[in-house]
Amino acid sequence: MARDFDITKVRRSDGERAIFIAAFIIFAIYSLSLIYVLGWGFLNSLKTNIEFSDDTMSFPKKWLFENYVTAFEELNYEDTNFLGMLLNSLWLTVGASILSTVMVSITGYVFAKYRFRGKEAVFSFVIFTMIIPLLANLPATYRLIYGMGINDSPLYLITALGGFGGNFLIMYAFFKGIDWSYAESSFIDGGGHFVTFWLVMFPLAKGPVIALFILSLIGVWNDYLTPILYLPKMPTVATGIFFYKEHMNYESNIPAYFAGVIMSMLPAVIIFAVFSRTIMNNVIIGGLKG
Amino acid sequence: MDEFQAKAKEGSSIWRAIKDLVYSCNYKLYHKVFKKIFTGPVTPKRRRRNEIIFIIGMLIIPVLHFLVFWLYVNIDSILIAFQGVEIRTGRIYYTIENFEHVFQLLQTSDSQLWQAITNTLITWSFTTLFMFPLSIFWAYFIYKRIILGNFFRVMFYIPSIINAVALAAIYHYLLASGGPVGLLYQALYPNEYVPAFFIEVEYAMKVILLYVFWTGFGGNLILLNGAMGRISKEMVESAMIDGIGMWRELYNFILPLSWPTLSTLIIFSFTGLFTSSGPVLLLTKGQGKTYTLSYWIYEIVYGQKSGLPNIAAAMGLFFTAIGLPIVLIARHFINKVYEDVEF
Repeated sequence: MARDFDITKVRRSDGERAIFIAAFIIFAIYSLSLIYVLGWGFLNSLKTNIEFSDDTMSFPKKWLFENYVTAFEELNYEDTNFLGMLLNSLWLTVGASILSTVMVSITGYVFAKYRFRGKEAVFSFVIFTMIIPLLANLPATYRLIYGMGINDSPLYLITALGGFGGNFLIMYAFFKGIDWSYAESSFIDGGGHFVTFWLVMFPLAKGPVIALFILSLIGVWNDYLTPILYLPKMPTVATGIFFYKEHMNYESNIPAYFAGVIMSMLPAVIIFAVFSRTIMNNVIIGGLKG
Repeated sequence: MDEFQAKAKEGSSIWRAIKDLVYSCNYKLYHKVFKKIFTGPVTPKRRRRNEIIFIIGMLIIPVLHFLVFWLYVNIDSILIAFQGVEIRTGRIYYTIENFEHVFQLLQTSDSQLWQAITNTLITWSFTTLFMFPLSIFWAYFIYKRIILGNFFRVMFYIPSIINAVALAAIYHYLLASGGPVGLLYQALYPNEYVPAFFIEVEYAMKVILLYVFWTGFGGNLILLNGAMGRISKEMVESAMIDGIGMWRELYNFILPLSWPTLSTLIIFSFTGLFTSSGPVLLLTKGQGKTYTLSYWIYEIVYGQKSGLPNIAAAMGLFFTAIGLPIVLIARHFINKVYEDVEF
């Protein structure tokens, strides 16, 4: 059967074999470099401060896992300790991800399934806004956010309410491919447009919605450039680590700082590990014609 | 197994109950309330009105957001570029002196602006002309199930999953005098001091590019793997049986069939021409001549130096004016390379 044919079993020519072996070696070196660096960071997070400044290459004499507890107290910025930073990261990450994912689902759905005047023009314009190279709207954005008084406040989440961006195109493409008869049968059952969207169409989109939600979680969790500007007094995990390093002095406990660094990585890695398949299967970008 | 099915059934029956409840409320609301207010049969006109109410209700928030955080912001950016502030009174006036200032900076070849432009273009060329083609090969090898491919794929993704602040912090200590790289340097050159890699002009930019190289494959690989994964296996298999080699397979199948994704990534890379930058804030803060255009602007806003945001806005506007035609021309040609492939 042709179906059972396995691509990998086809004999490659010697030249191609050599290329694959070379690639394998490069990949292996690359992976080792990452493992080494992360392992080095982890080992040094288990040392005493003196041990660290003496020798960064040795194994810790005693594995001080209490550094991970110390980090919660020690990593302190603007009267926010590590626990506070975690909480700030949590509301920002979850809040912004829910809002932005729901918004792009809404805009993607309405643009894919309803007709209204000016739709094509708006659609082309949205694509245009994505490719236009904007460098300098940072001063104006800063002025706007501080003018509105939503800096250093959970109200900052309203900036996540945008429905037009790369993810809009993904949801748009998804809803384009969904049969309208699902909605029609819902209308016959007496459902209005809102009910149909929230109870029928939105649940149908759970694949891409979860994928975009997870990618957004990871992105917002790791973002430091915008929270540094707009939430300077509410440090998140990422910006807290940044600010702490800025204000380090000779008394600072570097291993405890490393412990915080390692802990800050974990949530994103765990979430990605759990949902990687969902992400791979649902995030596909197509062309940019509009 | 049975228990699981029962649970699943239970779950779906709760869901159905909620659905029924909402439908019946909706039905009652419609027939008992709305019908009394708007008597008469459901005309196409009324159906269309309901649709319009829905469209407006759904789009009002994202449209408002767009008007405020995109349109207003960009109009204000243009205004800021033409504004000056009187230092003593704080009065705002309109002027073209910001642009004059930018042109003055452009005429001095050793200005920080030229440094920033050079570094931006270096970073762009490095990521777009070198790393992007490389990531296509990387994705191809993983697609062709190189030994340990899934493991390598995860390793490539990891730097884009863990936060840059944390990874850059470790990188920083790694290259410090007591870290592994510093010790290695000392072992190689016992009579020299370990250079301050993040400060000295000779090293600083290279160290940033090394970091970009080390961490920068993940994002593209996720998308490229997604695109290649969708290519019809049968088509490539039959070509393999015919005995085409790797280069022809790449050139005749993989590239054209993943072109919708590739072309989008290329166009976006042109959009990022003047905003390309490594994590300068995390690694050097511009020391060792590592300013890039976007970091230059970021630092001005972060530092809140009075008067400078206006110059930054003017400079940004200037580069947008240069960049936009480049993107549009690039898009025009890129979209012509292959006709869109549907599969």
